[in-house]
Amino acid sequence: MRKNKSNINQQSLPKSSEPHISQEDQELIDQLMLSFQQIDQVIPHSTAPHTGHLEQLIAEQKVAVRQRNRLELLCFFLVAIVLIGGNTLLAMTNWTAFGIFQGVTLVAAIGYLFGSYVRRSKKGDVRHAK
Amino acid sequence: MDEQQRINLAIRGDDQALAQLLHDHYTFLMKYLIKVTMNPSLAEDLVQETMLKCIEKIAYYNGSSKFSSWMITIATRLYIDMMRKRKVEQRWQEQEQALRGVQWHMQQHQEAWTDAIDALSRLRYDMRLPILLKHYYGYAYEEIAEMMDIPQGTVKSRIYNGLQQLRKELMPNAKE
Repeated sequence: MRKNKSNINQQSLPKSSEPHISQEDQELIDQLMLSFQQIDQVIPHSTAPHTGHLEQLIAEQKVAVRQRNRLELLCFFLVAIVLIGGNTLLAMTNWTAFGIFQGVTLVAAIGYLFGSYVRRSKKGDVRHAK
Repeated sequence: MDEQQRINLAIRGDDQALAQLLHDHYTFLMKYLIKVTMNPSLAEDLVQETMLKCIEKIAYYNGSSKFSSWMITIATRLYIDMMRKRKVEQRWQEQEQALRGVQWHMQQHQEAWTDAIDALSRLRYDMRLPILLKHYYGYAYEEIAEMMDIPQGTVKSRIYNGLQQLRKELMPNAKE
């Protein structure tokens, strides 16, 4: 079922941005588009909900988003208080431990940023190909 | 009131204008998702999720693309995320079940379950998607790349390889 990325033959691609479509390809594409049209016409789908219902949905969703934002803000402040408080306490009691902690945090942050940059540059080539 | 005015009002927080916009684009979105997923019940779930996402993100809509294209982009990314999270086996079982339903509907409408529909339904979703967007909806490679959040080269290769695969299934004697 699952095919490897290596199955995708990128070298064999036409180079121009809008590749020339051969007669055979055009016939195939026409056949496929006809199939999509058939699917469009035949498969039943639900009708659009009334605008009143949609307005209610919008109001509910906005409330949910507001609540989620408030919770996220609260979590942010809690974490900030713990971190700042902890660091201040550490700095007051042991300067060496504070320095080591700061150094480790800095290295970890740089490592994380580098890791996410590498992941982003690879994005699409691997993750979506499955 | 035209669509642009509705969009402006919706961005400013007018629920009525947004509701009307979602109502106007519902059928378009549903039909798109049915063709993408080939699974009407999954399409319905995705329409709901897309509308919720649109409500949440309407303030970020900048008008650089049509409103319908913006909705399609959200729906496409939600679908890709959903497929990535599901196991291959689970996806296959659900798809088989859905295809039987689609086949039944086709028979009810005296429409033939053609080899082309069969081949399309069995094509990997990440190949069917760009073929649909390029050749049915007429989007440019650049726009499809943006919608699927992948490089343009990958879009081209998927369309090319998707068509090759379909050609192999539909025209086994054709030259490569």
